Amino acid sequence: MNKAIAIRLLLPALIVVLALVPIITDDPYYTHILIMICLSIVFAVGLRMILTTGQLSIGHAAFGAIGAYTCTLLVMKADFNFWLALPLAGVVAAIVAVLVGYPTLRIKGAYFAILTFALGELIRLVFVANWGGLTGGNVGIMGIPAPSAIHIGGRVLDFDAGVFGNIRGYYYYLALLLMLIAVWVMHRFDRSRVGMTFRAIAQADLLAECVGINIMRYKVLAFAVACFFAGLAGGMLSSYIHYLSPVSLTFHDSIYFIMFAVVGGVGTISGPIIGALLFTALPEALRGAKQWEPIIAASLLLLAVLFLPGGLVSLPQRIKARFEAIRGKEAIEHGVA
Amino acid sequence: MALLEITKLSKHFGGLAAVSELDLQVEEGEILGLIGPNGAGKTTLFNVISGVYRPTSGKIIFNGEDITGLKPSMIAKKGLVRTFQATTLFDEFTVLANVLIGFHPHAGIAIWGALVGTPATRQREAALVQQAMEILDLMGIAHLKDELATSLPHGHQRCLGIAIAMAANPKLLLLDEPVTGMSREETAMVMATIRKIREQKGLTIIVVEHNMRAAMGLSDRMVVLNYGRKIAEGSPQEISENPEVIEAYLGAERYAA
Repeated sequence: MNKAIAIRLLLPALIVVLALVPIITDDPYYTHILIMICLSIVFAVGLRMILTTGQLSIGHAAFGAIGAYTCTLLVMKADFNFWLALPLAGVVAAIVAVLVGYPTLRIKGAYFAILTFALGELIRLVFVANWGGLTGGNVGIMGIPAPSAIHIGGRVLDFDAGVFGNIRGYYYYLALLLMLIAVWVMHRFDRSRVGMTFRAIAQADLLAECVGINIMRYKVLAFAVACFFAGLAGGMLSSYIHYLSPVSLTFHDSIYFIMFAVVGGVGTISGPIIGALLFTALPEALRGAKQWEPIIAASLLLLAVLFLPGGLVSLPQRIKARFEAIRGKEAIEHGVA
Repeated sequence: MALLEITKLSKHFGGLAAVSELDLQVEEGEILGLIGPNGAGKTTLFNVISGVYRPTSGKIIFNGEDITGLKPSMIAKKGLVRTFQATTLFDEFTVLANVLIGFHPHAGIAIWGALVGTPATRQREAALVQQAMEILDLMGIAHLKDELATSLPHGHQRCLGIAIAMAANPKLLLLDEPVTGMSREETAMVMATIRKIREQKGLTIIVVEHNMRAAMGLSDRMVVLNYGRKIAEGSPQEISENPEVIEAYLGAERYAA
């Protein structure tokens, strides 16, 4: 109960601090890292939601790419307003997820994972080869404009100009908003009967089906919601980086998203958040030894899989249990218990 | 009219007829015991009735409706619910959560309502917890509600399996080997529980059971399968005296030995 109250007080405080970041610092480099952390979290919590239904996607970045291309092409080729194109990027990614999910989510385990990998490659090849004229092929699309300025009251929110002297301030706010919405939605899923049903399907799908649960509907729902947010994150990413190519979001990124979730811990929503934070900040902290980064990342993944099945978030609990075990042993040895 | 009416039902796996041209009727309110030697097709029959397998041919009418070839989730929603031979449970959930999942077909909670957490859904959730506790009480495992399903002893796990099925509000309950492999005490406990839920809920039950004494003790009427065919039908008394049944079992035993 105390813990719940603490979270209730700490969470708004944390959000306020996060909202103050552009005022605290105008350093574009740190702001950039924070933007990338926010977007990583959006991908990671989505991937984790798919994992709670018992399915592993190793092509999650592909849905980011779908969102990125949708948003960019709508803005640049069809003159859409960015603020309409961005939600459409999410919707298109979700629609693709439904179309792909219905036939493939029936397949469990490694087979589904391999299919998502194939799908990711397929989408990349389609963007490069088949629609080269539209997407710029391997060269990609350069000069993607910033999100259109927003007029509120007499004020103009201009993404190119920045805010509070922080040139990337508005991008940061957009990424933060996207992250908070994604986390909140996933949290609602987790806490509700729907999230419970996801986890039930992962544990015993046949039993779930035999008490009347339409398991395909639930798996597709989790997949589509996760991919919707991946599409949004991809759409925002391309307008922030102002450049998009078939290698902007690849299999490599998909693997990182899995790493965020697994190392952080898939049991709770805080796991992938901590994982995304760690793995996005880590390469920056290791800038002097960049060549070691993949090794360190891979080692962390292996260590987590081997020794910490609950991920980093389970660490405090494990330490506590360990201490209690030691204390209990001592108590027995001293004849107290 | 019978609650469940199966006509000329067959299920073939390649060249093997696991169930063959089976006719079976189950009257409302009865406990039908389904017995037969290993490989007689009892579990296959359960899988076909509950929609896990599609029948090769034949018809299944439940409660006046043709349910042949429907998906398991649809069949469960219509009130035909099964348990599993192995202790298939939602292992990482508490006992209470296991039963709450069982309420799915008639929980009356829309996905959006659940996500937003409207007052109506919260009320409904609370009511479901109440109902779940009643079911656990009936099954005699209410005191274990906060335990993880995986940590229960075998007998209690079987009871939980039945409790999950009960939550789905069945008219017809299919129990797959509810007491097989249990100690004498556990068997007595589960059998008493099955009788109790039949009395209190007015359920119709089909039970597949290897423990012959338990099957005879539970059933009002019995059907004997061998090689996917019905070889006898009648009261437990009649079945125990039927020469063909004795032959099937002794033959099987002689063969096994």
